[in-house]
Amino acid sequence: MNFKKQLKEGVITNNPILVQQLGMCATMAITTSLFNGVGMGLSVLIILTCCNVAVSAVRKFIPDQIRLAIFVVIIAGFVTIVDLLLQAFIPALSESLGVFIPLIVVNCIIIGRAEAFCQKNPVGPSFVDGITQGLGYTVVLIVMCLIREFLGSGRFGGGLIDVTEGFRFTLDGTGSGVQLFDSQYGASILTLPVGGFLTLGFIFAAMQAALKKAARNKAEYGDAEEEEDEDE
Amino acid sequence: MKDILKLAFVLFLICAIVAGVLGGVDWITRDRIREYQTAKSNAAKAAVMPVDLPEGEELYKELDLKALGLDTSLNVNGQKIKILSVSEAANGAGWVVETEFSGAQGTLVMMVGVSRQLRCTGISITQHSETSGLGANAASTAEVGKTFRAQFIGADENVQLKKAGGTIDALSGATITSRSVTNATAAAIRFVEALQAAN
Repeated sequence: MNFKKQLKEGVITNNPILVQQLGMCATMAITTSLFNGVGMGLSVLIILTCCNVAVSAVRKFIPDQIRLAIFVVIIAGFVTIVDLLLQAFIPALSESLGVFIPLIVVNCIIIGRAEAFCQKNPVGPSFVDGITQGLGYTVVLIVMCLIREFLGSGRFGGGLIDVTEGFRFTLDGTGSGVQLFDSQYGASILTLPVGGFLTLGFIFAAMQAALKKAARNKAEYGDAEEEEDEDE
Repeated sequence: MKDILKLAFVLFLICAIVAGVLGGVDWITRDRIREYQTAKSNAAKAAVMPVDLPEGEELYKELDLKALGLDTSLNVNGQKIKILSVSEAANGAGWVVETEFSGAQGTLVMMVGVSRQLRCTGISITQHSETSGLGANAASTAEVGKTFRAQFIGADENVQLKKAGGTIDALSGATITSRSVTNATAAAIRFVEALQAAN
């Protein structure tokens, strides 16, 4: 098990959104406030890790012909569990993510990892894969939320940070966020669904450029100098 | 044949295990979810029509819409507004009408408090999918949302936006949302008027 290598793959070189280009629908829809981004990212991380472990654990008993049906049942089970738990214990998050929590069932990242990784690997690496891929997903969501929130409405940390009565963190989504400039000067197109497409497109471009540059450096200088890739 | 039976058995087994686990989780969360939903519905009603009664008593009595025999689909300024439910405040101060209508993006559900004198006592949007930063401000807990909603207190059945010669300031960049909220408020008051006339 090589945690560091898997972490680098999950977050950078094989990032589920930016490189594998999976699960983009929810990514564009919910990244309007930091609260949503963090909540959705962590929900996917938990579901992905649980599904990876479960799929990997039963991989030897599953007949090949019906493996997809079984994956879907397992995934749907975990998604429903997380959905019910959110409704009961963090209702604000459940309301603000709405239908996108149940829709994790058909999120390609989860079935993609089950098919591409977990059915061939033991439980340990699958568990790590769930965490690293989930982190990669969460990082992109957070970056998108930060960009869209800041440029769109001049805010930082909406729902998660409250400054109306001194600085504090709010876990119920009521935080006002830090207003960095008046929201009427923001490019409100970025808070619309089309802003999700635009932001994601630019992040894709930046990521591809960074990966290309890293590959070129590697070819020129060998492995001696490895550059840190950044999303933006 | 034997293969098919084996496949069916494995699939059945996995489904049965998942169903069992889900049953357990549902059993744990069921009460909390129901409690939260009742509290949310009461809070939305209390925000538009406060009822001062000791805790534990039923604050709002939901009326049977069908038994009332009133038209639940109203047309205000060309917009269709649907009445979902109506509850009578236990202290007799008025009614809380739950309305459903289209905004700029999708469907909104809004509670409107209506006093016996046919004046709006407050509005509260419980469900919406309006644009964040624009129409969503109508439901926001921030100052802009509170100011917008406060304008409706005391409004009568002819409430209108300033653009249409009324008194309500529309949210900037969200005229469609503002107009539909205004129309729904008027619809709720007209519905209560019909309700009073029928009794």
